[in-house]
Amino acid sequence: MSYSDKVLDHNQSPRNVGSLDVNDPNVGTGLVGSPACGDVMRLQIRVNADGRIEQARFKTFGCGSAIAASSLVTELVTGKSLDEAASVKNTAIAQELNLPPVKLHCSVLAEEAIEMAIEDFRRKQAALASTK
Amino acid sequence: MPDAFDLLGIEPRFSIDAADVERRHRQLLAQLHPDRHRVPESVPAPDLELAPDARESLLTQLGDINNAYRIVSDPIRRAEQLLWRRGVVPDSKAAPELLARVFEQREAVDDATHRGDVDSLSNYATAARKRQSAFIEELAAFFEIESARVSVPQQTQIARVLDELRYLKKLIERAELALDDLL
Repeated sequence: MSYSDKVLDHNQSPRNVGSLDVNDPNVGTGLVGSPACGDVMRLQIRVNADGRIEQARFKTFGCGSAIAASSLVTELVTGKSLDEAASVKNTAIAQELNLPPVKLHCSVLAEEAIEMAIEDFRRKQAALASTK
Repeated sequence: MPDAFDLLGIEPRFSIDAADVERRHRQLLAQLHPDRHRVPESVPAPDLELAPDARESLLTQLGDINNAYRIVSDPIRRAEQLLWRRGVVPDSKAAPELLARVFEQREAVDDATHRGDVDSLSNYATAARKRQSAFIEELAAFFEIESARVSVPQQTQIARVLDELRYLKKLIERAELALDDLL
């Protein structure tokens, strides 16, 4: 099986690799994984006062498709509102990267990661609001 | 449909005799070898070959046997096969705690790889292999005692152990690959 050009491109020059401070109240972290493939994927977002994602970072230990899917998601969600980011679908990721059927779960993983990061951010904000 | 144990004609148990399984595998391959299935020696050479569909069927059988051997030889897949025989397909949704731990470990292995830190990598690989053995023993104990019924808490526990083993396998692979490159 060979990777599509887009998958290769994201692997050769991954976008937005790195970490954000998990304890920052404006940062949401999603950590997902697929034991069957031995993949773990962490996706983090920093949300500004307008409720937009101003920064997205990822770190993925997994196959090329998983790396490409998470890299692409960081690109897709940057600058978006949380609702817009939450509507990023795995099918769109898979299509953009030309993922073959056996690698579709990588795009599912990336979607789960962004959903979890948004959820984490909202939970933190809610907790913060309730202590005020 | 026969499963991996049936295909190899061995008892469906977790604790297997690896040498015995290998012998059985070889025997079956020898029996299926296309050379054994040629038509009588008196037939001229070009006709010695099998008819295409007979050849196809033999190759499929060979593939099934090889696949069964790979399943039975691998503790994770062997356990999955045994559970499947009991009608249990464990849900593979890794616990957040496990994911967090795996992430840290993979990060540590990656960092050590970039530093060219052979000692740390060896330590990680050794520790991971130890944990792997412990989990395999846990599986063995489970399959030794358990009768056909697998309770829900048991299923959860086995699913957890299998996830640990899947991730450990990958971790060990990465550490050993890095060590191979560095040494």
